[in-house]
Amino acid sequence: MYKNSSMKRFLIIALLVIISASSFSQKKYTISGFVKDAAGEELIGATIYIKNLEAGTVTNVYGFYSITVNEGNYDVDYSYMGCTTLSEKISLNKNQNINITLFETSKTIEEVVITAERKNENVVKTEMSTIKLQAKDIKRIPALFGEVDVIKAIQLLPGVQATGEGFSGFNVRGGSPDQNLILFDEATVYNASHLMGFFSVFNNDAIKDLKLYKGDIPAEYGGRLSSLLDIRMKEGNQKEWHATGGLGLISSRLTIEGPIVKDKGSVLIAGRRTYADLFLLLSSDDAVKSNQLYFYDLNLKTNYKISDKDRIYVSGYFGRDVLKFGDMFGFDWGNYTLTARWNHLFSEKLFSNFSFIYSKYDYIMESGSNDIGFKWTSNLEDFKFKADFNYYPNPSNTIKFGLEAIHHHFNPGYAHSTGDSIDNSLRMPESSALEYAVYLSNEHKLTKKLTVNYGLRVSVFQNMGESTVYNFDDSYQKIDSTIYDQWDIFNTFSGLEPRISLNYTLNQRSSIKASYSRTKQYVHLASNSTAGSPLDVWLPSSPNIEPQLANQAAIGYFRNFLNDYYETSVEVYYKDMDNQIDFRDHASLLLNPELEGEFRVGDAWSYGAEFLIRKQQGKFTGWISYTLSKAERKIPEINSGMVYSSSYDRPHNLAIVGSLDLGKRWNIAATWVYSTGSPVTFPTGRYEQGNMIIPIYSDRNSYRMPDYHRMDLSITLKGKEKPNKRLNSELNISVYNVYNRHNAWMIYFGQDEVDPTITTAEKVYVFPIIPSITWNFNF
Amino acid sequence: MKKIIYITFILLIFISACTEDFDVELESTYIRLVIQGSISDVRTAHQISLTKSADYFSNTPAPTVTGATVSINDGENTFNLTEISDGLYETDTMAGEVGKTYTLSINSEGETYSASSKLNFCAPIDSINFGFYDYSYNEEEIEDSADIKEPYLYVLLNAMEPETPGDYYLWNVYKNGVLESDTLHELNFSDDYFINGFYMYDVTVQYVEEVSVGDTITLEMQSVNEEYYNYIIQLLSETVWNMGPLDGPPANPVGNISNGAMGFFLAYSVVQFTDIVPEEDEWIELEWY
Repeated sequence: MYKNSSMKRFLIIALLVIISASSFSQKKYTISGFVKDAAGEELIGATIYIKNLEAGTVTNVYGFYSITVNEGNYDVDYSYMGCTTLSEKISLNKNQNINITLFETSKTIEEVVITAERKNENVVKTEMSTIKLQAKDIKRIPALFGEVDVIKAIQLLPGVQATGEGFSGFNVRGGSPDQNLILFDEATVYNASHLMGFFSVFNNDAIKDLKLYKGDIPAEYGGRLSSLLDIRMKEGNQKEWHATGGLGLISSRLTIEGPIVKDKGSVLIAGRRTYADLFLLLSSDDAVKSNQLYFYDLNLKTNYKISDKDRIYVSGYFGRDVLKFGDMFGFDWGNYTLTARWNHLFSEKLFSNFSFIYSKYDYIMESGSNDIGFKWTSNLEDFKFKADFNYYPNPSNTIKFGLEAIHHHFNPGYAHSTGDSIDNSLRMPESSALEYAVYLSNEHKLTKKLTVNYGLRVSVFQNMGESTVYNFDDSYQKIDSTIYDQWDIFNTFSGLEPRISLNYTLNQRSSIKASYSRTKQYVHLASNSTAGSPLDVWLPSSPNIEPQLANQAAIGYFRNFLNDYYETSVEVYYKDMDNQIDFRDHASLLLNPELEGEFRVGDAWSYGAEFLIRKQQGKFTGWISYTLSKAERKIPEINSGMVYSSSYDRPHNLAIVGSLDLGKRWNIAATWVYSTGSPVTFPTGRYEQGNMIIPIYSDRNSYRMPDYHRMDLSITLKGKEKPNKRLNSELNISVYNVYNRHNAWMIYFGQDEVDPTITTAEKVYVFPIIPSITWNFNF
Repeated sequence: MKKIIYITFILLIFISACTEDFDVELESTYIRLVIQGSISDVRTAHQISLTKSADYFSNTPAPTVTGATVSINDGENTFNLTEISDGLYETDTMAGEVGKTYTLSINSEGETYSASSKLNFCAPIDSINFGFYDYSYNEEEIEDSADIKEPYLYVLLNAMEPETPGDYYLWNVYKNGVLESDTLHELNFSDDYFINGFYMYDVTVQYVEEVSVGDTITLEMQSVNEEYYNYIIQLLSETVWNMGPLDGPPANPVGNISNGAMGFFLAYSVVQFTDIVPEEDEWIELEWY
């Protein structure tokens, strides 16, 4: 009953919004089109502003905009960060299709031009708790081994922190790493790590931009509790062929892009491979030669404009890590994604996109030979269909609606012997699930000063056979199991996820924003390590595991200074999370068919304040971010039911990121990060057993690792720019951990080697000072 | 299998890792009674030792607990233990019986503690063989393992695994009558998940270092219960297998003793097989996998 009445209410609201949006009588016309950069790349979030009306809109993720206003003559400004604003005079007496190309501002000119244009999007937009980074900004940040890394860049933002030294896992506002939805051209990336997390799977050369939502996730996205990281791949140059690449200390990259048909279609291919192991080939030892440790990834994208109203995109990612010790042992893992999209304009006011998405994560571990050995496989596969509609009835309303359907297939682990020896296999039950959602949202300008973005997402999750479900008693002991036939839907969860945010613009330089969102998560990562590992096991919600639920509220003050050169913001948030997953003591999470019996569920909450000062324009760019936060959990069976600090609780977190252009050729950049050490459990007592000293531990997470801090530097020298010179190159020297701080990766408690009655503590650190050099080119 | 994962992680993570001493102040924790002991189906005096836990950095031998009343009951008879030295309590010469559940009762300093353990059957060992790996395959391996004292010999087990599932085995090895696997992490152990009801044919279960032809090698196989098997894994997970952030949060091993005492009381059955190390050409070359 409850569900029905909420559904009805939802439909009524939807109807009202549409009616109110179309109940005007004066003659109205629509200006619509695409905004692109010089290379034909569509610009996401470019601003279209009609000065006479003080009204505007922004381009969507496909660079499309539409605005419907009364007949008349208008001055329309098209602007985008880092590009020169373009003003168009438009006399509107019929619907107009205006495609705009914006050109990058050369930095020297920019200092002269006083930009009176709207660069205060951060202030006037309703969305909060989001940050956008462009690939070119990320490139300036000093990187470990010189490997430019988008995830390492977002770890420097307020409210975001690395799960551990050098790892590409991240926590957003006290959430766990599996609560981040990482979308790469709309395809879910389940494990964004290469090489145990030291590098991320995203090749910066293939990325257009990324946007991180730390709360206030738009209604069109769901399925994860804490954040959305929306990464968009470049489309490829529409005008001419280009190649970009680099030679680094541990990897090389090459990206080729160009038009298939000029201004109609383009293609982009980007590849990257590490070659640390190639040095092994220089070894005179055959055994060393036969060891391998590398990763590679490949990005492919192509798009074609069929007509002014239709455009198709196909993009894919394929990446793999390979580890091999001779013929004895092999281990490889990776992600695949494939996205096919069709943009269609039903009218100037109604934009649509249909996506078919496939994504997969798998790993294979093998030992021995084909005759006798062991093989362990695990994979997770998604098929997703998504239909999204953007409707622009008038400048005051932007309505988004759509639906999503996902078919998940989980094969969490299957280990078996190879060859004709005795059949001794271990299989975790496979299962399937369906996840659907419909959503509707409206960005509604109620008055000149007050804009509200309200939306609702309705999500449904169903477990589907064929599957074996174990039933557990109150003490988590397996009682029996139930076997469900193929296609048999045996369990359904559903939920309403309201999202609302509002912006009250105090003046053109400052605003107050507030948001509330509810998110549900139906798939869970069974991992209790704080470090990333490729051995991910994802499990669906099931009769044994309730979906995770979060309610988050945030309020913020946004203020720009000095002609919008400096953006500042303060945000305060509170996040309450139910059905949070932890695991019993001594849990066995790998190859455990009864894995669900290891789950222990309880509450978690986090709150904090985030401060950001950012400068995005000029010779000096960068930001300072500081987060003061707390994240705690309470789970009945853990820590004797007492509240404990979440492993991701880092009360103080500071990042300073700066990049300075010196003349036309030199750039220096530096980052400094500081954070409180993460909570850990240390031994406080000991006893002896079997000639060993066994620790007795403190309460869960009642100690802290030493504080973490590190400084990185990089210097980039560009080659001389000459007219008619096709090849441009730059040399980048970067130093990770400049002052060689031995940041603790773990504290190891053990017995002294000489005198075993003595117990000692040792600090293990992973990265001392690491200099690296990279040569980048493009032509 | 788990070992392979550990090896992988170690190699990847510690490629560039370094260690240094670390000063840390640890709080004191309350003192717990630590009970260790066992009863087996061997006719002998079975021992229970009582000690106390201490602060982690106390760095003194564990304090013993004297003057306790200790007894073991097999469901019919009660065997009282006498304190033969400080903190060490012993039964009269007796043998446990397969199938019986033994209950340990202790009264110490006004508190009572108890633990129960079932004595499981152990299949006999038919024979043992000796195996070695050909390290010349990998020169690096030998350099890396400089602390391995050659010759290094593996003990291979031949025995029939009973058809009932749920057997748990520990293996000890003696060289010339001296226990070589005298530290917990030198024990080898396995459950019967993959081998239930099969014949264990030349299965590698232990190793001996610095072996000479003619040495007497005794392989001891113990059949223990599931709780103890898990306890051993937990002890090792919190000590030599500890992988820091790659593992879950640490937790105290869960023994079987009531009233908050640490340790374990085990009832087990044991079989042994003794053989003489043969000439080197009779050693079995083991496959790398």
